[in-house]
Amino acid sequence: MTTLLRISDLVLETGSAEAPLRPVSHVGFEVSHGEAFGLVGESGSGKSLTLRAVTGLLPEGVRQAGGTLELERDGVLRPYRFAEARGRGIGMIFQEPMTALNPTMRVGDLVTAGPRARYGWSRGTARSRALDLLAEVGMPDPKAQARMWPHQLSGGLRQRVMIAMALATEPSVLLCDEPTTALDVAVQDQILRLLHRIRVERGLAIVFVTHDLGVVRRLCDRVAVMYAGQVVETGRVDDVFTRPTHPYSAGLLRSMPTPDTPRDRPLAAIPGGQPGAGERPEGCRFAPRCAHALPACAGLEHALAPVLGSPSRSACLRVADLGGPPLDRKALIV
Amino acid sequence: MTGRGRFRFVGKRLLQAIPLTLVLLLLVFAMLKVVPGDPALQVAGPRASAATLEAIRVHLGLDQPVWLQFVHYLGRVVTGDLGTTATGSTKVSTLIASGTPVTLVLLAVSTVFTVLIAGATALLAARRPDGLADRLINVVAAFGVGVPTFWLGIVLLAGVALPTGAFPIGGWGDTPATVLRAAVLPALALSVSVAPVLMASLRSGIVEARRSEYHAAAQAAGVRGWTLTRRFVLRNAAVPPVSLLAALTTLLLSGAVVVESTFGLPGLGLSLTQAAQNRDFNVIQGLTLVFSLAVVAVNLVGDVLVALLDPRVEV
Repeated sequence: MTTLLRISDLVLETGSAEAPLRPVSHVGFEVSHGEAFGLVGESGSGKSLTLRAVTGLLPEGVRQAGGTLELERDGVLRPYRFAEARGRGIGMIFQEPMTALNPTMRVGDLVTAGPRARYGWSRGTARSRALDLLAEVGMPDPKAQARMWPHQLSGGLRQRVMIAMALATEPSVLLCDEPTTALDVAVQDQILRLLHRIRVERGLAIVFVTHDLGVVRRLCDRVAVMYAGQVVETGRVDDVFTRPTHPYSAGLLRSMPTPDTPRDRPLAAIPGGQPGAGERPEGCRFAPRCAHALPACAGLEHALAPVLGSPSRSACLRVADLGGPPLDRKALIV
Repeated sequence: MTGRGRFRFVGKRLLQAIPLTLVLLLLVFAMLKVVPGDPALQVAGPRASAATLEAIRVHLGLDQPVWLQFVHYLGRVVTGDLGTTATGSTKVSTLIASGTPVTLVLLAVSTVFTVLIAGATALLAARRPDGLADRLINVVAAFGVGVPTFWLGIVLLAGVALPTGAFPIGGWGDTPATVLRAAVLPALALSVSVAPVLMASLRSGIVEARRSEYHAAAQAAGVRGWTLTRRFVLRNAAVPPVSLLAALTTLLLSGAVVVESTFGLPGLGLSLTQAAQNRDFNVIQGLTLVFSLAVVAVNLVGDVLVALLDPRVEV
């Protein structure tokens, strides 16, 4: 598999230029053609901002202060201009289908707004392609729903419209920003199945930002775990979920309930809370909460590095001496 | 909303306007019953005998019970009979018919000015929120709201019409060209106090739309350029200003009363001012009714426009 999208050394800043805060510092990852890549972390870990930076759609007040973003074209990775990549190479799905669909446009017009602006599709072309797209994302009655307004649809159908809108320009990678968080569980499942089917059918790469480890487990090939604006561990989902190489990932996984989790005992939790962008400790940012921390952890910022005896990469200094028995794989399948 | 839903919406709004109009008629009728002053005395003069006054009261129907007077009033209004002026020389309906085109042209031109001024400044201000242009426009807008319309009218007459000679010093025209020329300065004087309100609403609408998730989602889907501005910014930002414009037309209408006096335009406003000075009750009553009905109509149109722009609007 060849690399499709490469983010390296991404730094995002907010606040004044003299004393900026860095919600995201030196984040990097690669996504191959047709691959499903998960970006997991708690709220505030910088995962959504990272995703928005990839399309250059950062919220007001957040700026990219460093890093390179590259997309494969004609077999070569090249830095891209956002205006060029949006729609054509990179599509994006947003968390809230209620607010991400323009309320003053009919569903059919909304779905093909991108290609109409990009490729100058005629009204007729747009109309028939809109019906194809709405059918592809599983709208029960595309013809009727194309004429409806977004507010007349349920949350699940709205998210399908959002997906159709992102697919209209035929992107090669689909960025999904917590696309199921705002939906109820039954609908979540439908949308996840839909994304999986579209990915297989179209050979699409997917970057999935979520705090739901179960979703990553189910959908993704590889994963990067983010904590306090950094990637602390990255690797294949199978490896990370069974043999985490960073105490934070291990803690996250232990706190995830499984069907076998005893109900009369509290869930395992990591003590303390994630530090905000302004209160990050020197050295390893997880050290103050880490049961394995050594004095050296506080002084040294440890970059992602290969781990002996594991295909994952970890930012933990002690990874070599922490290799305990693997977590029970069966318990983690949801 | 589907086509039929819209049709139903308009019908519903029209039906709602009927009781409102009746209440208006009652208020306009009651207005003159509660103000002090005797219309008969006004007609006959202070030295008229009691018998003359009584005869005039009977002639005017003022001796009948109030509810009957109202019923008679309703009947007359429906047939377009609003009585005569105090001197008896002209029908009030004739007065209204001759003044209406003047006031309508004035309002139309000033609405165009208001929309143009508000639109241009809002777009400029919203380019960079809190930027230099935004703050400058904000200050000028505050002045615009504060400037008294009659004073601005005089300033325009003395500062523009007099030195340039391009516009008449008051008065109306008799051909479309002279009419439009005569309307420019008074319309401008009217717009200046109203445009800032519309500008502020439009500006915040544009800024809000640009910050919205649907704007980001559209960009992510490859929408850009004029399509992005037109369909994902202006279309959404236009909803609040359109309903506001209906309310502002009311403001324009009351401003027209002032401006028509300043510029000596033979419109409904000038008639109203003169009638008030002469205590000409029939004229005041007729004009108040026309103005009130105009406000009802404008709000009706505004509601319908908003429903067309924003599909979420339901009643």
